[in-house]
Amino acid sequence: MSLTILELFAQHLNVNGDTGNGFVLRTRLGWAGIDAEVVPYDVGGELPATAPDVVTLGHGPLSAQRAIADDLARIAPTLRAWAAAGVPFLAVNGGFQLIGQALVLEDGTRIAGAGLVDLTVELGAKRHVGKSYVVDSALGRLVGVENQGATVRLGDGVQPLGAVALGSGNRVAGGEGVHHGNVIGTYLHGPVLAVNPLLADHLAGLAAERAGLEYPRTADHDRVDLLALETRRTLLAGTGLSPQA
Amino acid sequence: MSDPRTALTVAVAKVARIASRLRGGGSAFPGFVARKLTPDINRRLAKSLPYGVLFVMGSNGKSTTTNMLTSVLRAHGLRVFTNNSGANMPQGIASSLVGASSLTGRVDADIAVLEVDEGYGAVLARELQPKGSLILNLVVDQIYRFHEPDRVADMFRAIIAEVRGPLVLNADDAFVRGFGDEAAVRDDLTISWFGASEAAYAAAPHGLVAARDFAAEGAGRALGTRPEVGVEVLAQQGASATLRIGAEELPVRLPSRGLHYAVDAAAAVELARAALGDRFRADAAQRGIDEVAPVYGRGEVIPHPNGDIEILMNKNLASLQLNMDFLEAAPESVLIAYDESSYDPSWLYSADFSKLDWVEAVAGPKASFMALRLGYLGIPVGLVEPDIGKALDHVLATPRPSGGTRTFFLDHDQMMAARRHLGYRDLEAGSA
Repeated sequence: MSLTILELFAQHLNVNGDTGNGFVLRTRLGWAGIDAEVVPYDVGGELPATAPDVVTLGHGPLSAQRAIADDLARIAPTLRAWAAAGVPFLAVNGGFQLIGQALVLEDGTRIAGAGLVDLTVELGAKRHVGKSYVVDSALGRLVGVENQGATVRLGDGVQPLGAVALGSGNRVAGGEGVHHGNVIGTYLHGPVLAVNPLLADHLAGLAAERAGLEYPRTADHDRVDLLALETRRTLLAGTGLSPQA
Repeated sequence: MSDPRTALTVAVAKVARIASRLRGGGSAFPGFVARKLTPDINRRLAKSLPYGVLFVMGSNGKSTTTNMLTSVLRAHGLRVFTNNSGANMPQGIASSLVGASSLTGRVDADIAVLEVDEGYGAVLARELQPKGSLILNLVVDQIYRFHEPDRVADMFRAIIAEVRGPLVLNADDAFVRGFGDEAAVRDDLTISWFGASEAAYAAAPHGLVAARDFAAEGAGRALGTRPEVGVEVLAQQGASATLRIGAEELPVRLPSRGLHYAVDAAAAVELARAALGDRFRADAAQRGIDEVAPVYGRGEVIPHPNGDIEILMNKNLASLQLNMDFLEAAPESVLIAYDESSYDPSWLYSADFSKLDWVEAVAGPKASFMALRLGYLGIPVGLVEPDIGKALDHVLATPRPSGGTRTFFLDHDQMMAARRHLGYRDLEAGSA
């Protein structure tokens, strides 16, 4: 059997190497002996008839978020059903801003989100661009780059992905992103999974487990994860923080 | 037509240049002094040029196109002043202009061709009042600085609002095509177009990697009927291309391989045509393009006894992708370097590295990002070394490639550092 990684709006939400996340998942599953296929979805397309094993959303400019809004509303009921059934989602930055109830623009215009999680995003905060963005999550320390200007308000009982150790994050209560059921949203920019193998393995492991498969680590994982560790060290240079919390 | 104040400002700034050089100071300092003394010094000096100033803009290819346009104008017998690529902001341009001026306060040239940074273009357009402008492309570039392509588009729109006369645009770039459509109502602009044929695009593995204009697509404004193109790339093969200039078809030699260089040439020739009018001659344009040497770091080949070094630009996804796409074969000896200042290398995951089968060294403060990307692809990397000097020494000591050339992909800062390490010191003057 082959696992399916569904890359939502692969054309519109891919301004920052974002399809790297699906690629990393497919590659790591492949090292573990699990066939996986990345299936891109674009505006007006057909969703797979059966639920995919992982869903990813990347980052795009506001113009792209507007351009996909109608289509997102069309497919949202299916996405909600998948999320409720436990399909793992990873949504990054612009994609993260679209998985909640709404994205509220500076002029007050509301773009409806997919409604996978109870959260609202308000644009208009001063944009923060940080070359060291550090988040302490239940999975461990996550490291990346931050580039966003919005406030994220989580609904009652909805948990952030982690606490901001360095950066702006949700700008509410020191939280970063969202982790609700198997849905993860984050401001860790770009191919977060390449740099943070523990998050990649969390998602790959979930996908494998749901399909009744083992996800063993291999020498390839070890080889590349040393490079990822070095990359996190590079990102943390001068911050006084270590790659492991 | 010279005036005493301009002449005095030039004289003081020249003294500042000498003083600054003695102290090892920056090349923008004389411009800073000149603008303090006479805030409109750029305008005054620009006015001393009989044919005025031409602007070259766009995300990628500015330096090469500036070089090409300069060469084409020289082939028409004009004396051309141009800035080097490091000086494309107001103070740097003032410094360059002062440096090229006589003590009478006049620039010693017939015409100026200036490479202009999109972030400063509107200010420079007000100061310099260009007599013609061109925009090459809009690609996803430095999103840690620009945030999103739409914001860069707004910068270009602000520049277009300040310019008059010929405006030369890329018919095949989504955003740039849109600029022309938006500006079509203006009667103080003469818009003309360059581009490449469908056949030329079909031969390019990833096209020109232009950004998509989602706002225009959403509004149904995207890419309507293609406008009539004045200068078009009909075909490109390696570093050769065939340009259609008006009704004539002429072969040209490019400074390096790739459709992007061919399109830069088409842009340069179209602006020369628009600026020179009846004085333009296609054969002189052809000669001008043929004579262009690569700008340093953009297809430049540095001779070395243990294998010549070709330096290709690694500035953003479009530049790295295009420079890889037009390699003739898998290069034997590759060094890729990435600097700290380019601080979000996430876009590496959108690049197709299938032209490379191994990389001898990755270097620069962000070397680990490149090593990680290549590691995921299973492309072997010989050495990961943040220090570009050490990486160069390692690579240059390996056996001479059978093809005689090594291929280095370097971003701007690492390219400067590499050239310094190789003993090329006078960078501020540039080779342009």
